[in-house]
Amino acid sequence: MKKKVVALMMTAVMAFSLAACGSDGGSSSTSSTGSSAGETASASSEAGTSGTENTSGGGEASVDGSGDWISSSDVEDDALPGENDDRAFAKFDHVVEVHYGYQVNPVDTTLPDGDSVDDNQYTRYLLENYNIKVVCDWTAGNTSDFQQKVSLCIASASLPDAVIAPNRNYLVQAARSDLLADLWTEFNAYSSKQVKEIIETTEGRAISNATVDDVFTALPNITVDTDGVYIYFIRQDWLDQLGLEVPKTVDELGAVAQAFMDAGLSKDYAIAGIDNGGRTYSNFLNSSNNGYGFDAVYQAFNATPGYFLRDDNGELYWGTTTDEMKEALTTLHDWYAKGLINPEVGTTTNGDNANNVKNGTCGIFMGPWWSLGYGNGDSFKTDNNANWQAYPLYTNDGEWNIHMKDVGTTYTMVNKNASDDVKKAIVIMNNVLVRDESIFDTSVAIDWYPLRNVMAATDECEYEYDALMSVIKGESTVEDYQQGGSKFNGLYKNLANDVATMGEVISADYDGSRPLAVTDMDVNTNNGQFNRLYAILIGDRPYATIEPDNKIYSELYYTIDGMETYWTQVSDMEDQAILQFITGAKSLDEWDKFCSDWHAQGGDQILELVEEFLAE
Amino acid sequence: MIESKSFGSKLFKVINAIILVVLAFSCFYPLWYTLCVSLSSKVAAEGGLVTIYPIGFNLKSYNLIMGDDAFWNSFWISVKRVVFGTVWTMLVLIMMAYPLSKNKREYAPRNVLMWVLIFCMLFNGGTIPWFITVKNYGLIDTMAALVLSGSVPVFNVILMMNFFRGIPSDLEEAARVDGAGPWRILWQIVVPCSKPVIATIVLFTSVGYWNEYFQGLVLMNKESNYPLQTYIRQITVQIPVGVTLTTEQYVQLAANSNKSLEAAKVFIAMIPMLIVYPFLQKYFVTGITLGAVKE
Amino acid sequence: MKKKKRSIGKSNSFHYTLMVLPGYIWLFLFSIVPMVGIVMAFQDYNPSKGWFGSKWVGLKWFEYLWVIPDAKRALWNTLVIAVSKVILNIIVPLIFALLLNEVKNMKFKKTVQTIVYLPHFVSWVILANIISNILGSNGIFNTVRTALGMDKLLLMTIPETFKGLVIGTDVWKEFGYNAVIYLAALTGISPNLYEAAAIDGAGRWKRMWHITLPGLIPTVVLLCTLAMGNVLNAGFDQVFNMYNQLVMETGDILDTYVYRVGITNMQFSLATAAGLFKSVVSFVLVVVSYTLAYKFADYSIF
Repeated sequence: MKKKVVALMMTAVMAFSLAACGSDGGSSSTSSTGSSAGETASASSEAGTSGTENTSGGGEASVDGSGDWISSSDVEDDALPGENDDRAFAKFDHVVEVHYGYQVNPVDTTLPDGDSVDDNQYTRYLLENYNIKVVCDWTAGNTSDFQQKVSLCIASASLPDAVIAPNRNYLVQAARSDLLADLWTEFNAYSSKQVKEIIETTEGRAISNATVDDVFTALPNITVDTDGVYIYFIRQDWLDQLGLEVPKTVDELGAVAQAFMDAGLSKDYAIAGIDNGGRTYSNFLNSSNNGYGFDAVYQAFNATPGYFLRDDNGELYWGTTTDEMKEALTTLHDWYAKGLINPEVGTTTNGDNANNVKNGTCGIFMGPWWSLGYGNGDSFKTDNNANWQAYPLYTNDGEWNIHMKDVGTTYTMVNKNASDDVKKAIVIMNNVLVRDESIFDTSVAIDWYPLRNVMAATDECEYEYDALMSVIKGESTVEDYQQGGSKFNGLYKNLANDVATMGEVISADYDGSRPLAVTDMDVNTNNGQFNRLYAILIGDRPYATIEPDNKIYSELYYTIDGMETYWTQVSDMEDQAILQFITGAKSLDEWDKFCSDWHAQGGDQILELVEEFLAE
Repeated sequence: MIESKSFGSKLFKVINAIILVVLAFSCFYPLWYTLCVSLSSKVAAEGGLVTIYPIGFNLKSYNLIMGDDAFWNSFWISVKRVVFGTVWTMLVLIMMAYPLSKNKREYAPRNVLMWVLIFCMLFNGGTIPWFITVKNYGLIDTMAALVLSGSVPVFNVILMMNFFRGIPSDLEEAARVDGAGPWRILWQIVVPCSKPVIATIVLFTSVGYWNEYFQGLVLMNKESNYPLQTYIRQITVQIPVGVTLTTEQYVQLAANSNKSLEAAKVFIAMIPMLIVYPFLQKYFVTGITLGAVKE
Repeated sequence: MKKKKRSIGKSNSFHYTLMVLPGYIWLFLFSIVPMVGIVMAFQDYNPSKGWFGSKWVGLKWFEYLWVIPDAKRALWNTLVIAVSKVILNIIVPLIFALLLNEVKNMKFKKTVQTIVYLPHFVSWVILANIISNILGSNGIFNTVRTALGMDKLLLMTIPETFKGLVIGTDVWKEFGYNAVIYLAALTGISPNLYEAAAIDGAGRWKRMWHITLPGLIPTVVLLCTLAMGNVLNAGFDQVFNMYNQLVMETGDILDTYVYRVGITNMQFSLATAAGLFKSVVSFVLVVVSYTLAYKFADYSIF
């Protein structure tokens, strides 16, 4: 009798659990609000019909989706900032709600009291001018939490209307899971001239990156090329104090680092490194913005770790498992052993390396152009003489190798259940950001702009460098670069503003005849512009003024079908091993074993897959 | 008697005392250290100058926290979570443990029910199915999710059940003869006899609820709904393993690092549990022991 | 009312079932329902097709787990860390309890006891933060080393020591709390035994060896049995908050591996398979220990 009761209960349990899961799929597939419009649907017939329209029909669809690309030269000029009556900046006649998930800064202090992620100056701007009302379904306070949320959204088929994929893997996963909308029609029809021009500077790479299985699934992010160009930064004032030349090669840099230590200028160590979770070099998946990595050193050894490269015979190989890389690591380990590199490289948290650069404890670090100014703003507040300068690091043959990044790394994905209005709204939000970013009052951090996913011309920094220097040298005037001026160019969205505000930051005495130094600048009046101009005029100076000898591209910048599982395995192994070779936790005698392990544990399969893919 | 006054014995006593003091110090030091860092200047905290006393003593961090609404909001959420969670859990556990403490003759499904519990303790579908389930119940961003989503704390059920088994059956027998039903026996005989185990599990449960951060992270969509530990984690752990940061994130990191403020938050987060614990301590030893060791 | 007419046993059963009902509903909703997701381990899970529409792939993921070195490494690390923790968490608190038991000054005893419980109540989120500060380049650990003329040692960065660090800090966090059970058992040993032994001229060590330890053996056996279920539980919260790239080789455990594979790399099916593997092994171990304890010690844990 009692056994029966239990048995009955268990059956009920089973039945209920099946029912519960079946119904959850059904209800969510019929709900139409963006926030929960997932499809946990079973293979039942009603769900099947709506679920298949986006999958590729075996590859015969063209990359262009529906309709050819309308080139920027064929569309009329954009409306002026603040206007809202043309094609790309039209105000909706009714309020369109866009639900999204977003990463916000938990300790931000720029947002006025009472404002929030979906009610601040930017969201009100969008609502008043364009009738776009953004609703933030969820937020995350840091990068890993954000990735976790996106991952769970994909796993549970419950993406909001729009969310930014942290890298292309998320995009591919979501697209393959049949969760994303085809954005081609809206993007092509409503993108502003400016956005189209920026897209065109990538020569099709941005569009092909955002295309998964022949469907254009996301707004690509386009960042400046120089984000992937790694240089080194050094305390020029210390060099001068010790009477040392600017180092050109790795050996010279090591000698200078030693001199900094010997002279007591660097107390603990001379060269900053990465924090916990960082990489010592950027790889094909995260090909840019590797602040505090050692990329510049590898490149000076002709090594390009983490990239898919071809040798002289056209054979595909992996950039990490090369003899050049071993040489570079030998030097880095040597530096580490001598105490030149932060002994806690790879384990510190909370931006310790950045802190020490800022506090003046170390005198050398590596990274892309923005590492000065943006990465290191407070250095100058602590010490007005902290004259950081940026230089390329050459090979022993005197060549400068640079590392070319992917067009962009993040993607604004749109849920396939989003209405056409929502898709259009997302395209318009992007247009507005690109056009109006320079006129916003950025005392409220621009990160609060909903779904901000940067689009910039790939040579923006170099173009600005030249323009700003020409104004400083008196070759052109501020007015030339304003709207309607002879040298105005809408593609470079911040230039007009940068030229106009330059006087608040750079001393009038500076005439461009010698390299700009922090002592020529005013840190306090306009700190935002100080950071930007410092980064452009000093951080990007090498790339703007020196022609690199070799530009090295990866053959591929994203993972392809079938590669994920192998990649998870070998990339984990690689990241750990490289750091261990540097710290000496692993001896370089084991280098050959590491290389053969890399190939045996999935590397060979990856290379084969990539070769096949590229052959197509 | 004689040896106890010998030299060897004295030596042992001294060494023993030293060992115990060192152990106690090691347990006390981290808390003390955190307090010191929170009371030190920002520069000293970031430069790692603080070791055994505050450097550049000031209360700035605590002043800052006083005005930090997000912190207190999370603090309050955690308090509510502990109160609701503990009351609910105790009610359910007591009612669950009592029938399970009976043997098979007294309550036939008992063994099957027990194995179901054990099975659930060890098997789970993983984070993703669990998230989908809670989401489908519509509990995202609710206090109910923070209280319920962890499911039944099986280990505590076992603890309480074992304690109940140790209660002399004559007591129940006598009550039954007086005509008391199972409910009355449970609340008027069993529960009053079980103060130690109840106090112990109250302590476990409230510490568990207070210290839990992962559910808050996964199930809360808005930071305004984060419990305190989730809040603390997001301000202290900024760089995840295997992630390359963007420009903005680096700027954020450089601008916002404030170790003494972090330490102050961490310290305040520890206080409530340290306050609750001494009140329950006197029950603690009997509770955990009798629950685990069946006589 | 009605129950008086029925036989006592049956009516009690009905009420007992009512009592356990809320608990089992809770269990059902939050433990059993999500278990349906285990099917992902046997599928090529596609979120839009869900648990009932995704393609079945049999044991593919388990076979794959068997060949990837990362998974094997995680399993090995889990075993080493968890087994060491189980053993040390039985022995260290035992020693501590014995030492504390020798103290006759009640005030001192109480104070020590109260302080050593403290770390148990602090979460790993917080402790990991504190530990990395203390062991960091400028933390007190290295300040003391430098003062003693030794080189700095960065324990959080050295693969060889990381396992020890994880085990050590866990034992440190829990020893005071784990000692409670022994202290209670010690109070249960009759003082007469000690007096008799003292009269026989047995010294401190002899008494400890012949009276105290035998008195504690049942407790030790019991704890060992209870610990069997934890043989694959190396402590997600702790490792997740403490590890980094440099020590992944020796510090990565099954739970962190499952998290990284599932959430970070979105290999949903592979992660589920790894999780299921862990559950099955744990379950088998618990059943075995239960049976052994029941057979040989006539002790029923649950």
